[in-house]
Amino acid sequence: MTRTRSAALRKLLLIALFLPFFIGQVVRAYGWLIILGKQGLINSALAGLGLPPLDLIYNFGAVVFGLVQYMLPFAVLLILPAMAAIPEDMELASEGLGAAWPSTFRHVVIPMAKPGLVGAGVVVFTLTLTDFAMPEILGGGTTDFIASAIYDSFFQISNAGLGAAISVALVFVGSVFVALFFSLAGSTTLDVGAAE
Amino acid sequence: MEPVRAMTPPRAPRAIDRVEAVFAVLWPRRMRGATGWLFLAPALLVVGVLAIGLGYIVEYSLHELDIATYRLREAYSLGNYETLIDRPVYRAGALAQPRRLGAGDGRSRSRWPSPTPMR
Repeated sequence: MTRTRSAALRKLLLIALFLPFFIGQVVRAYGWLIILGKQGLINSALAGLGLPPLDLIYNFGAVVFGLVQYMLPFAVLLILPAMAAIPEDMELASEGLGAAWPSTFRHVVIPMAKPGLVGAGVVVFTLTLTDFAMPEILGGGTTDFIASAIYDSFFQISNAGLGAAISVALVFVGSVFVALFFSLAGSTTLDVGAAE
Repeated sequence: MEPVRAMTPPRAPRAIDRVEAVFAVLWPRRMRGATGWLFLAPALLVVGVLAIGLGYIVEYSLHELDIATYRLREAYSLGNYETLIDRPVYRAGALAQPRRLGAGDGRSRSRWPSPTPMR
């Protein structure tokens, strides 16, 4: 998207990417239910072709699909400025020195976009870890996420103590993963103005 | 040749100038070192309030549910954390556990273990 020559196409891609932001998560999940459901668009098309229906919702795959679709704009929003800040000359220089585009991408683009990638990774990971609506709606209660466990502990079995303990565990697990992420990516990756 | 007329600045910038003048009085130059903290203050306040909430959450987590009264016991214990470690459903649930739990496929009953002793 950052290297798209046509300004109109770039705007169109941006609108397509950010349009889901204007629709709530629950509405979006229900939209997928309509498309992926037993009598949804895809299964109706399969039935029209004489094929058996597929179980596209209420399973782990559906939750992962919904979360990927939900988190994608967040990731792009964070990676885009990092990618856009990479001068195209760098890529041209790399290719001029004989690197194929995958090598250029691996050795030039990814290292230079590292702060954006790390930021996107942390944001998407933490949002996914705590997500509630997608597992509940697209998983239909068959896939266990921590947020669902917390909700059920507080509101289904009325055990506030257990819900609180799971919440503390969630904060702990999230913090450990983020710390691990930063230690692997380099603790100074996201330092802002620290080098002054 | 037409006489040059003094240009009147638009209304909005004039209003902003007045607001800035008021701020200059309320927040004099000698306090500019603290300007950053002024901007950070709302965020810090919100995080601080959230930290209080988290403190309560930690406190609740140290009280087990009393099945007889359905209230949290006054005594402190690590029972809830033991439950988290003992029951596979919670132990494996760091992210997601793609398997069915509880009775039936529907949500008419909770998927999660009931608070009544099961261990």
